[in-house]
Amino acid sequence: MGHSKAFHPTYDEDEILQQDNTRAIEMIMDTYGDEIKRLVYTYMKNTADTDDVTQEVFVTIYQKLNMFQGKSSLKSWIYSIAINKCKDYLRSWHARNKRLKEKLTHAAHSSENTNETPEEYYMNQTESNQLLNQVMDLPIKYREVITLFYFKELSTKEIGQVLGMKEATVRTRLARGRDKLKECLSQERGGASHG
Amino acid sequence: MDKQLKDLKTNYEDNIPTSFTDHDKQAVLEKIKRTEHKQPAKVFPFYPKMLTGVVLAALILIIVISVNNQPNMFIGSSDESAEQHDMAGVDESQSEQEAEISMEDSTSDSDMEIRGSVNARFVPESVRVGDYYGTMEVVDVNRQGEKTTVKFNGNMELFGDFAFEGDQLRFSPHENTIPNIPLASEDVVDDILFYLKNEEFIRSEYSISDQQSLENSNQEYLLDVVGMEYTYSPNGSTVYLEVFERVSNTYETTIELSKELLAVYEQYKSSLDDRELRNLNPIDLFKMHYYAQNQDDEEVLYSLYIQGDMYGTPNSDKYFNDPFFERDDTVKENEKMLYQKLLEVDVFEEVYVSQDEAIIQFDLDTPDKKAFRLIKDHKLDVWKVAWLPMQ
Repeated sequence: MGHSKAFHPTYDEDEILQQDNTRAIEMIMDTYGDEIKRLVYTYMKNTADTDDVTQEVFVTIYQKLNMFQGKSSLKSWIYSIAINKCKDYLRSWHARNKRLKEKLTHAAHSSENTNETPEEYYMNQTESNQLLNQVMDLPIKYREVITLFYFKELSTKEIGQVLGMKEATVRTRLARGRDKLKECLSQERGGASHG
Repeated sequence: MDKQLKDLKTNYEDNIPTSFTDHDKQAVLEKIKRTEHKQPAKVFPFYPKMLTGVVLAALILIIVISVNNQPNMFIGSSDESAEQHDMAGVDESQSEQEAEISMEDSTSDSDMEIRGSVNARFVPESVRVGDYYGTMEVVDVNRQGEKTTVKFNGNMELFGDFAFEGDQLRFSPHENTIPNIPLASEDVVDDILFYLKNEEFIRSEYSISDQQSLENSNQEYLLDVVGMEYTYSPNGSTVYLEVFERVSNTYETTIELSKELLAVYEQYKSSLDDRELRNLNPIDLFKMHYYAQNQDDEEVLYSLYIQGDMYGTPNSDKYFNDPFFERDDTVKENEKMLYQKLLEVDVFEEVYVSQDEAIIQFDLDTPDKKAFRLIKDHKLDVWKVAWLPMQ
């Protein structure tokens, strides 16, 4: 599918923070590159924007590295920068305009063909990916907590720090996200079963 | 569901069709290099500031010379000019004092001092209730020893950043908005400590929990200041800013018109008389706008907009005849899709941003809340839809 897993060495937080900024950013990219890019993809849902935004994320990390005070883990700090960058991008005029165009194009062709991008086609191949597709279709506020909790294995406390919200809100969103998934899946299966 | 999602981690890692390659890594490193090469331009920010300072100083010098040559220049004989003079809260001796300050500023090399001279300056010893400084009115003065506390009411917008000082949030106004702030005649902005009277509100409004949340945010903060408590002391002044707190109502409702609102709508449709809209809340106008759009009631849709060039609304001739404003089939189809999505929303928040402006906020499938803007027509005492209302 045009994406191969490159081997990258991984480093621990202390090791990274002892280096100068240039070396540190290289180590950060080796350690967190894949997971940050995947995280960005869950917001962007297309590879072109994912490439651009991921690049921006690492440039920002490099620029702000001296400001990292160690109050949270390096991983949480990197995640919060990545998430903020994604949200900034999605809020931008450029992204809104692009989404509107996509919606209009999709609406115009929806009756004739499925209009799937190659990425969507790949993801739809297996039945086991049905749930993952449903996660990707959730509203962002639910999608992000589910991604961070289940796929990135962050605790609700860490998610709260990363997203700048209370732990209770994270838990509520997780529960609502799960409910929405159940609802979508049962609708898709004809409303007969419940997950 | 919990277990299913836990098991999904491998699928997520395998099936998100993307990975961070060496090519990506090189692209980031090159971008960092390019960014760093651009930075030397910022090494000389002093020159443009100095240039601005020199121009300002020259301007002040010209004004001072003109005043000295024609001492009666600003003292008119009419009551009106006397009143204006009083409004400015500047008596003759104060003007002289300010002129002296300005002269001092103009001869100083410090950019900060020159910049300070454009602020509305009050003299702590003589400031009085009722005086105006810029857009702020003095409402209380309290003198205790060397300290003078002056309370202001009014309206000014300040851009700036926040920082934590211990547990307390401190505000640093940006250079371009500093001239909006009334300052004591001997104060320099950088020496004043700005705090917030309603800090809790600001924290929740901007989701500021700790220093980390500030560092993570790229946001530029805009404060809508409605009050200020300025405590002047020769040893350092402190200012507490009071920020406008939005009033909001939450409605658990849908966008569909109730029987009563539908009756008002039909009445309005037949007369297009804005007086029919009296007693309606912003949320009602919001619903009527989308109803009109969905019904293709072009005349109602246009009539619900606040009218006038000053609001950016085109006149009726342009709106109905210029192809630029035509709602073609694609636009209509898009609007219908939006209407269907809006029908699924069941909570709306009506926020009164000011006395003249309200927004309706709601969640669609987007990262941020949608906001629909309405403007109050005070003449008719009705809310109308802002031109291009969706934000």
